[in-house]
Amino acid sequence: MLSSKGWDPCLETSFLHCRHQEYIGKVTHAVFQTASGKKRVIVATEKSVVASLNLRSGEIFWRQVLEESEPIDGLQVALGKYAVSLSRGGSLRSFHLPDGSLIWETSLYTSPSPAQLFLLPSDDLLVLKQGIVYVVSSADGRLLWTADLLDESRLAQTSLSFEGKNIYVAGFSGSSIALFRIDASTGAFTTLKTTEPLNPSSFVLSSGVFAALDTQGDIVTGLMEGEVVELQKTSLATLLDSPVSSAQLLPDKIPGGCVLSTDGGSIFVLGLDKKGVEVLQQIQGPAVVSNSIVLDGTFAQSFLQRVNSKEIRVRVLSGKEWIETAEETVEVDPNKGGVQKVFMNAYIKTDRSRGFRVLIVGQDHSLALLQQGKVVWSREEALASVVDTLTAELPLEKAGVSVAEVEHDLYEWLKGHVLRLKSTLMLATAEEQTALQALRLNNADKTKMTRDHNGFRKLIVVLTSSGKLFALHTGNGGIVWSRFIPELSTKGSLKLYPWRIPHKHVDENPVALVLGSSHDGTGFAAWVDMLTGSVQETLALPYSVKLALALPLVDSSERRLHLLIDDQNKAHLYPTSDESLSLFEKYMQNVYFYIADKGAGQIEGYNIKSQIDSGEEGGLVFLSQKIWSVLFPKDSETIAAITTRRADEMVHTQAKVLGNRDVWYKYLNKNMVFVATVTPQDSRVGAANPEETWLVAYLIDSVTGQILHRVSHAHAQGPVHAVFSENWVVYCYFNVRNHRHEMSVLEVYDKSADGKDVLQLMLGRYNASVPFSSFSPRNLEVKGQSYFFPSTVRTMSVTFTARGITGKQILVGTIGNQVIALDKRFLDPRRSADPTPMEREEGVIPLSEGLPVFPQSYLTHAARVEELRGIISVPARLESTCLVFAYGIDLFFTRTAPSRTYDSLTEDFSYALLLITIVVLVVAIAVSMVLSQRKELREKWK
Amino acid sequence: MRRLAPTIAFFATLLAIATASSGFQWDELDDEEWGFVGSSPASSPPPAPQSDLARKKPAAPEASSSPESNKVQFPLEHAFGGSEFTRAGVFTARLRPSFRGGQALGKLRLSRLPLSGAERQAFEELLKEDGFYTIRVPANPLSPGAPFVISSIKARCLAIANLKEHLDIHMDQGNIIAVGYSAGANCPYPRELKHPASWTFDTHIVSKGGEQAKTVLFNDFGLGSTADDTLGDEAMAAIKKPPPEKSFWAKYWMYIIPLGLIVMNAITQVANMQEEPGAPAGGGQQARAPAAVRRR
Repeated sequence: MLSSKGWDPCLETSFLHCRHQEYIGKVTHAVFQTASGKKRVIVATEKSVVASLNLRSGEIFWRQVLEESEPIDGLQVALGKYAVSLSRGGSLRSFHLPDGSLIWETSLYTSPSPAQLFLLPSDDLLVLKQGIVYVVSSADGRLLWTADLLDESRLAQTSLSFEGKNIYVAGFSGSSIALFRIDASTGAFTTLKTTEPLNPSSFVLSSGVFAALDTQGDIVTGLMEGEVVELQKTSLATLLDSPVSSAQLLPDKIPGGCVLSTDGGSIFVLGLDKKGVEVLQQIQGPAVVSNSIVLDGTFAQSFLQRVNSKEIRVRVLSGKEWIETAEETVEVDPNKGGVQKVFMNAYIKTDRSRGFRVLIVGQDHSLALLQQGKVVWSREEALASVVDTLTAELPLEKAGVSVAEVEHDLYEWLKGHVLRLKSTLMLATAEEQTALQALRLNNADKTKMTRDHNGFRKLIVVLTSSGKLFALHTGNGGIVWSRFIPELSTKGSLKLYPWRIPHKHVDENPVALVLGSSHDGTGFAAWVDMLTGSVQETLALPYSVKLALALPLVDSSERRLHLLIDDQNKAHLYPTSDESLSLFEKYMQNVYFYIADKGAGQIEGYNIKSQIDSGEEGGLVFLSQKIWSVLFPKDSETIAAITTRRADEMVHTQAKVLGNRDVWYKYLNKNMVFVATVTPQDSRVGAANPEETWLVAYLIDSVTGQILHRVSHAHAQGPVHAVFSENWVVYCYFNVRNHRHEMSVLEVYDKSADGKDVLQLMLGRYNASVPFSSFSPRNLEVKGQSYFFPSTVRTMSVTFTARGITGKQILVGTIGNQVIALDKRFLDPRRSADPTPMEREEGVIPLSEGLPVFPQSYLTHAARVEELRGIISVPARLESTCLVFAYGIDLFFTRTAPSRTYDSLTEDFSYALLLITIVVLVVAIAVSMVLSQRKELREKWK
Repeated sequence: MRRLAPTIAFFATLLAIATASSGFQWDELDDEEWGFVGSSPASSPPPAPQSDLARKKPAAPEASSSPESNKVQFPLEHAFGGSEFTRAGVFTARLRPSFRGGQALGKLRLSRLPLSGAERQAFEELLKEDGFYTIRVPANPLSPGAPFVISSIKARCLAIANLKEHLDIHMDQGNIIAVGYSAGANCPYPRELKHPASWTFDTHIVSKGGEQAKTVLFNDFGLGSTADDTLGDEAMAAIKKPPPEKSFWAKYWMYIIPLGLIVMNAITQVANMQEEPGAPAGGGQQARAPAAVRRR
């Protein structure tokens, strides 16, 4: 469990290039805390975060990141000072409201089954888990009593209500309803019987009244008194004055009533009492219902209706008769999709009347507060669930723009330099220091929407699991545009592909292809302009996309040809133009792809065979044929990791010159795939026998299916993380025998070019630009070495630079949610305990068993990227520098220079100081010249 | 007895060596074991030159004295550009315990069936359209049948190599993981259309068991040297071998030279002053001292 508060290292002077943004994820529970002190709302999210947000601004006061595998089932505020969360694994945790510190923690049970958390009128906590009731003291987390209502058999879809000293519980036991009354102070319970057996479709308990909808379309109510509940039947059609084909009782509780939604989308508020059931209010059209709150002894509840795509109507019903007390129409961003959840809160206005505010969770996972008919603030919580990223170059700077801006800001520019000079000469006051800091952070130059000379300014286009796309500016991390595509929100796997990266037509915008596919055999494609976010085209695909291949072919308008492989291994070519077909036909027989099936433990290679008639669907469809397969024995190997080289990777040189003037040639096959398999594990803890756990690493040519290299590591256990770059792979795993994490490296060299001199290399017979066939035999040499690594790895990546000259760093995302940059030279298989002088000259580091982690190698400094899932590196135009973007619940962006910034001055280099130094020197020279001349004259006069 | 002891010791050593060597045989990683069988006896001898290693192998007795139960046979099947798979030959192998437990296949041999007329025609067709010649073997040779391991090669590459084929059989505990199928000659793209000189396959089989990776080398600092890990290698090298003590001159030359220059400068100035007429050095000093006093 990790918490983070306020301090952001990216605001420190020394880390100017980093940006750290904190998110919480899609909100599932919210409790307002407005009674005293700071106005705040406590929220729990899908990402298992409990956070306290400032109700005025939406900023995070504090947050606690809990175990992500245990979703939060309930959130309550107890005793006015503790926020209590219930996790799926049965952990009840209480956090101090002002600062989020953990006050107590109780583990009630261990089974990962859903449960509900309630706050009793006595301010104690009640957990209802499938028929077992736990009551816990909210002061110290002590278990007060528990009641097993059904003797360990399960109670499903439970409902619970309080009335006086009693707790009523209802739930499905099998297909029939079971009703219970529990004494709130002791836990003694009685099983209630009904006058007739019930098989309802949905039911609700409210203030001691039971209501259910039975299959005949009747609403059945009963008062939970005595041993036997007397049931009353009312026909729904007569109650609602209209025929109803299907209806549902919403689980949202209304004291003394319930909410019924019909298939027509209408919502009815029903009152329940001894006499029976009556309709109190009716709301036409689809609406989202909030929780109910207590107001002056009665209750209030809000209903949200969408008026049109831009407006939402908020209606608040309150009082005994559920009369509409407030209605507001709020203009909202149509780019947020529908409203999924509403939380309501009341406050007293300055004129002593009552006002309402609602917190809404959008379909795009955003969180917004509506008050006084306006959106007060909103948080883009979709950014907590980034699934894929792309980067886009900004447009070129137009002539003249730059000069005008500099002139406009000349005063600012001068002021900045003076401040900088003062700070360098240590003359600046604290105020001036902060002004300088602000200036540096919000440098207008950084956030410009044009390309810069060094290539630091880019747009990072991120795709989130909600189906919303964002473009983040690397300068300040701000959102440049966002686009919600509702069709994508229902698709399981989402991917981004660069569809069109203009080089010739620089005035045109780059376009990204967004692909979503779901298990039901359908897919969805959208083409999005990467600079403006406008959706150019959408296409519903009648197949699910297993794999999408970006071909090395572009058509005349620079659209990249893509092959989408469907679940029957048929290939669909896009764009579907005659031009792309003619381009593809020439290339067709050289298209190979592979599909890895982790479940079956096999990898299969395919080749495009022929075009087939696509029939009614249209489009360009091709048939593929299976040409190779690799089958891992199921009982001893399961696929743990598959990694390939990045298609757009730049390699500066194929030759590696050793200290003894030998030349080795890197084997730069772009079709090489690294596969790691591990011994299938017994999931029980401690079941792994170190003698029987193996990791086998394969290098496979994905064109021919040839296993180029195969090496096994004894005592190794997954999870395996790997990076593949140039001619090397670095992978990491856990060594069961040594109880340490290990990182291994494999480097592949082509020895078939041995004996060829450098001249031949230069003339192009053996260099990387000459194509070679995978079908020709190769003589490869693979060098390997293993090292211990001191941290658990979450994810791995590698730096990419514009031309591939700069040394590489391996970016390791650790279990501590930080990013470590590890120099590749430490992972050199040629390190030996005592390197020869020649090797030393070459820069080979003496062998050590462990890889060093220096405090300076933490790219994230002190920031933590909670639940770190991925690290992306993007080359800047400056060869020495590479942009790094890490995402988890948080987002983090920084720049790294693996071999230091050898080709540029630092950004805050004081030109003014340099200028002044030069001026002072020139003046000094002039003065001393005059003085020496005078002295000479005097000497001569003597 | 005294004489007997060395003799017993000698025999014991011999025995030990014998068992060790036989144990070594079982333990080996069967990496470079070449098996070769050309075609069936009916066909003409393979025209392509064989390597020495390959030539020796067929000379080994085919039906060895090993019991029949150790022998395993499984089929090699082929297909021409996506056609149905038909039998192309039979592998024979011997079962033996593997070094990781379970069973392994050793002494892999293949007797390739000659291509029939229809098959030759199909192969010619493949050559024309630059199609794939595909082979498959059962993934589990102990119980032949599905699933199969598939491998393909461009027919033209085979033709260029004059039907000289290499089969790298990657095995693990009696299972075949993959078959690496390659031609015996370079096959650059674009592939030229060439017809094979003869229709006999010249097969080279390498069975590969995979190698074991080097383990992490423990250095002098032992297992628990996490502190050293954080120090970095330069620092660790410094701990290992303290650099030779630098001479005084090497250490402080940057201070000594300017100091020397200043001293020399002062000396020359003093010398100049002495030479100056009407301003004796002693007088100058006398004149300066009262001034300093006055300034206080």
